[in-house]
Amino acid sequence: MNAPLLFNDPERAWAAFEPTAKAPWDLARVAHLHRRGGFAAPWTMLQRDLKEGPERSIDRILNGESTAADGRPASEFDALADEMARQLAPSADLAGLQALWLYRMVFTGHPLRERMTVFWHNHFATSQAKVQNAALMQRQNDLLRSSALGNFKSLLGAIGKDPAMLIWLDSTANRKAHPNENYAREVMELFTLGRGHYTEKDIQEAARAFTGWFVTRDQFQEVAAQHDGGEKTILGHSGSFDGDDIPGILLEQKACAEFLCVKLVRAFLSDVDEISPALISPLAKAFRESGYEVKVPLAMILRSNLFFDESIRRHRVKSPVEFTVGTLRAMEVVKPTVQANAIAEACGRMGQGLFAPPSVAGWEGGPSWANSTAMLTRTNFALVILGSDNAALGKRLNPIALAGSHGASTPQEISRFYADLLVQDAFDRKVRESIESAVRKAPNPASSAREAATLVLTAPEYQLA
Amino acid sequence: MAGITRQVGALAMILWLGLGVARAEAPAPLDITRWVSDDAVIFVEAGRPSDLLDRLMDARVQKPLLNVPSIRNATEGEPFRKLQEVAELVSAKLGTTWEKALRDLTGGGIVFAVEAVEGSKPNVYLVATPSDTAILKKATETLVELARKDAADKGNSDPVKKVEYRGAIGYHIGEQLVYGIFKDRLLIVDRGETGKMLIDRVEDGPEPAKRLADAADFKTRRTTVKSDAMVWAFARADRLRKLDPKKFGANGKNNPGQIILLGGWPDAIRKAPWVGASLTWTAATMAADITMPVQAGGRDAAYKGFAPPKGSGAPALVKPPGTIASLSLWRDLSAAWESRAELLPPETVQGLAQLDTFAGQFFGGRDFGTGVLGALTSDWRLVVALQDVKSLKPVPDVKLPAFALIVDVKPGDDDFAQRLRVAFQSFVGLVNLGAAQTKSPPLELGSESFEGITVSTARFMPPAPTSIAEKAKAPTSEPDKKAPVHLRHNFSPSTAQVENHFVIGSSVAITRDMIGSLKSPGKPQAATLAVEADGNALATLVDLNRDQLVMRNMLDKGHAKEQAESEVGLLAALLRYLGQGRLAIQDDPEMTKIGLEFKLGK
Repeated sequence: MNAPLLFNDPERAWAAFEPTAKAPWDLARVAHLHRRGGFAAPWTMLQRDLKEGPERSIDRILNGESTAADGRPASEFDALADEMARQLAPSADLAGLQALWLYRMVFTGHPLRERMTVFWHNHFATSQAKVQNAALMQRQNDLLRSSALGNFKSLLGAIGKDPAMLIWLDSTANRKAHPNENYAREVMELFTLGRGHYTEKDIQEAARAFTGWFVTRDQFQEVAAQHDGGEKTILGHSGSFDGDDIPGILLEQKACAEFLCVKLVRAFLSDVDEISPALISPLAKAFRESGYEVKVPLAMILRSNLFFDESIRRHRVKSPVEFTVGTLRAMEVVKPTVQANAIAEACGRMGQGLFAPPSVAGWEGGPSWANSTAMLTRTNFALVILGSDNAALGKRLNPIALAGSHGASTPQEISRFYADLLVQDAFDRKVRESIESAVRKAPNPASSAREAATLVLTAPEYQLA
Repeated sequence: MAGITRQVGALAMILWLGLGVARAEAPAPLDITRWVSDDAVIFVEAGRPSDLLDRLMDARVQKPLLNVPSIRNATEGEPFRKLQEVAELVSAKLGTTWEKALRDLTGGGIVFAVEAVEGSKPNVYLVATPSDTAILKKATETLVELARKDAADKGNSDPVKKVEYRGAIGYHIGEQLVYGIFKDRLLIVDRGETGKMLIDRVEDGPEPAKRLADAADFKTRRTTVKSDAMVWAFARADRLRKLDPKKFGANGKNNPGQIILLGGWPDAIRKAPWVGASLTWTAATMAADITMPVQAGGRDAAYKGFAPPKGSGAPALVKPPGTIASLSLWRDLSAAWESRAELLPPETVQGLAQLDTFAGQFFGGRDFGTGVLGALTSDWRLVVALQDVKSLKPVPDVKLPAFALIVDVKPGDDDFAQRLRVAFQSFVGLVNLGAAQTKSPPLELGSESFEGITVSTARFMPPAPTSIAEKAKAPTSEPDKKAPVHLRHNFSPSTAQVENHFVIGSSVAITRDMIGSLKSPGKPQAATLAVEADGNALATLVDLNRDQLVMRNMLDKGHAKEQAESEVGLLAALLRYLGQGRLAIQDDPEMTKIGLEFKLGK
C-alpha cells in the first residue's frame, strides 16, 4: 500500500479541509468522518451532515450530539449509562463488563468519546484476566472516559494511582526497600516516551519516586513511611521527587507529545503507513503547547486535508468494535438493539475482547484484524443480525422496513440505499449493477432488501474504515 | 405422536372461524367420552371452553402472557399473522368476532384423544360440540369457500376435497388436515382412516370392554375430578412407555441432581401406570392437580427416605413477616444415605465417599450417615423473606431476600447441636480465609441474646471510605458519585437453637424472626412437601430491585429504558396476579398427589 502523497507535505496535510469542486463535501466524506470519528452513522445523520457542511459536522463529532441513539437527551443517556455501570459492574463477569461498555457505545450521543476511551484502554492496556476485580476495571474505564478528550497530564497522573493499573503491573505494595520498577518502566516505554528516550537508570530512579504507593482494600493509598524521600535524578531533573512529580517530568520531554501523536495518527488516519517525524512535528507542537489537551491534536486531525483525502478513505481495517457497533448504529438496530453480551461475544471471537487486551502493549490492530477466522465471524455476525433465527442478535432488523423508511422501495432503490449507507463510493458502477441484478432475482421485496444488505455488509470494502 | 402438534395448530385455525347465527339451537346431548376406545393413551376433556377463554382474555392475564418471550415471538411471527388474517376475514364475512365464534363453536365442550396400539400408527382426533348446530355448517361453508378462493387467486388447483361417509361430511384440506361434521359435532382427525374408524365405532357401537369410559383406571381418575374442573386429562403412562420408550421411558439411570432435589418423585412418574391432571380456574383461584398411582407392589424400598410413613408428614410451615416463600419437607436423609448405592450411579457414590470423609471431619469425626445425618430428624424447613432494607448497613445496591434453614436435631444429642455451632464458626473461618486471598472484606464473629436465646452472628466489615487523596486528585468530574455497595452486605450469617430446632439464617434479622415463630409451632402436615409463596411479596422484591432489573433487561435484551421498564412492570403485575401460591405433594401408600393452587390477586 502506497502512503498518501499528503504524508510528505505536512503543511498542506494539516491545513483545514475546505470543500472544492475536486474534493467536495459529499456523502463519502460525511460517512468517512463518522466511520473514523465515531463508529458509523444512520442515514438521517449522514444526510443532515451532508447538508450542514464540514464545520458543524466536525464540531458535533468533537463535542457530541444533543441526543443519544435511543432518542433521549445525550446527557440523560450518559447519566443512565453511568448508573448502569455503577450498579451492575461490581458483580459483573468479564462478558458483563464488556456488555456494559458496548451497550453504551451503541446508544451514546458522543461516539468519539467512546472511541477515545477505547484508544486509552488500548494505550493503558489493563486486563481483567489479571486484575480479577470488575469494580476496579469499571472504575478505570470511567477514568479513561472522563479524560478521553481531556487533559493527558491529569489522566497520566490519575492512571498511576488507579488500583486496576497497579494490580495489573504488580505495584500494589511499592516499598522503599524494594522499589517496583514495573510501573516506572511502562509509564516511560508504553505510556509517554517510547523506547530509546530513557535509560535504565531513569526507570530505577522513577521507581524510587513511586515508593509508598499502595492499594489497600481496593483503594489507592500513600504510605509515607514506605516512601523513599531521597534525591533522584530522572531524565536530567534532580530533586526529592515523589510519584506526583513524574508526569510533569515526562511530559516535558519532546518525545512524549510525538509518541502520543503518532498513536493518534495511527488510530485515526493510517496504521499501515510509515509516519515521518516531519508529519508529526506540527501536531506534537500544538499538543505540547496546549498543555496536553487531547482535543487539540484530535481536532487538527479531524479537520485536516489529510483526514479527508481520498487516499485515506478505507485505508484501515475496522476493529471488531468499530465493525459491530458501527453496523448496529448505521442499520438503526437500536429500539431494541441486540443483546449486549452477544456483541461482546462476537467482538471476542473477532479478536477484540474489551477489558482483556492480550498484553501490556494492547491489541496489535491494523491488518491483523483481518485474519480468516475473524472475517468469517464478521460475515456470520452480519448474516445473523439480518436473520430471524438468533434470539440474541437477530430478529431486530427489518431491511425492507429500514430502506422503506428512507424512501427506497424498488430493488434498484434498495440496493442503492444500502450501498450509499454503508460503503458509499467504495463500489464502482459494475459492482453496484451486479448487486442490483442479484436483488432483482429475489422472490419478494423483503428478500430483496435482505439480499442487498447482506451483499454490502459482507463485502470486503465494508470491512475497511 | 408427531402429528399432534400439527393437528392442534389446525384446530386453532378452524376454531378461529367467525359465525353469525340468528338463533342458537343446541345439538342433542351425547357423552362424547363414550366415543373413545380403551386404546386411548391420552384423553383430554375441556367441559367449559368458554370459561377458559374468559380467564385467558382477562387483561390481568393477557398483558403478561403476551410478554412471555416464546408467546410474544409466536404472536409476532408470520404464521400467527396469517392465522389472524384468516380469522378476521372469516369473522368479518359472517358479521361476528373471532372470540364469539370460538365460544359458539366449542360451547358444548371439547374432547381430544390419542389412541394407539403397538405396531400401528396412532389415531388422533378432536371432537368439539358447538352451542348451536347451525354454526358448524356455516363455518364449514365459509372456510371451504375461502380456501378455494385463495387457491384460485394464486392459480392453484382446488385444495378442498369433499367426502361423504355414512351420513357424515368430511373435507380434506391439503394432505394433512381432515375435518368434518358428525352428529352435529365438529370432528378433526389426523387422517381419513381415523375419521372412518370413529364414525364406524359410534354408528356400530364399540364392544363393551373396549370403551375407555368403562376402564377401571379411567373410572378411578374420573371420579376424583372436581366438578368445577375446567380441563382434565388422563394419560396411560405405562402404554406410552411401551409405545415410545425413548420419549416416555426410563433410561435406567438415576440423575443424581434429580434424586437429591426431587427424591422419589421422578421415579414415581417413571413407574406410574397412569397420570391424571386437572385444571380449575375461576376469577379468584387457579388450581391444578396431578395424580398418579404408585406402581404395583408399592414404592421401591430404596426410596424409603423420601416418602413418610402413614400418619407422618412435613412439619408446619413457618411464616415470618415478609415471607416470600416457605417450604416444609419430610425427608429422612439418613435412610436415603443408606440407600445411596441403589439410588445413584457408582461415580456419584464414589464422590459421596469424599463428602463422607470431609463432613465427618467437619463434625468432629462423626460418621456422616449415622452420626451427622442420623442425628437429624426428617423435618426440614426453608424460609425466604423480604429484608428490612433500611436496617442493612450499608444498604446494598442489589437487595436480596433473607433465607433461613431450620433443621431439627434428635432430642438428647446435645453434643451434635454444639458441633453445629462450632461448624458455623469453622464456616466463617473458611470464608475469611478465602476473603484474605481475594482481598474481600472479612466476616466478624459475634453473639447476641434474643428472647432468651443466644444468636451467633457474623457481619461483613463495611467498605472502606474512598481515600481523600484519590478523590482530590482524580480527574473525574463526579467526585460525589455514590460508590457501589456489594451484594454481600445483604448477608449477616447467624445461627440459633430453639429447643431441638437449629436455625441457620442468612441474616441476623431472619434468625430472630425464626426464634419468635418456632416458639409457637403450627400443626404438622399430611404432605411430604409443602411450599407456599406470596406473589405480592415477590413483586415487592421486584420493586425494590426495579432499577437493577430494568438495567439488566436493557443489557440482556438490548431494550431502551422504557421498553425494559415496561417488561419489569409486567413481571411485577404477573406476580401480583398470581397472589398466594401453594404446592403440596402427598405420598399416600397407593397414590402420589401433586396440588398447585393460586389465590389470584386483583
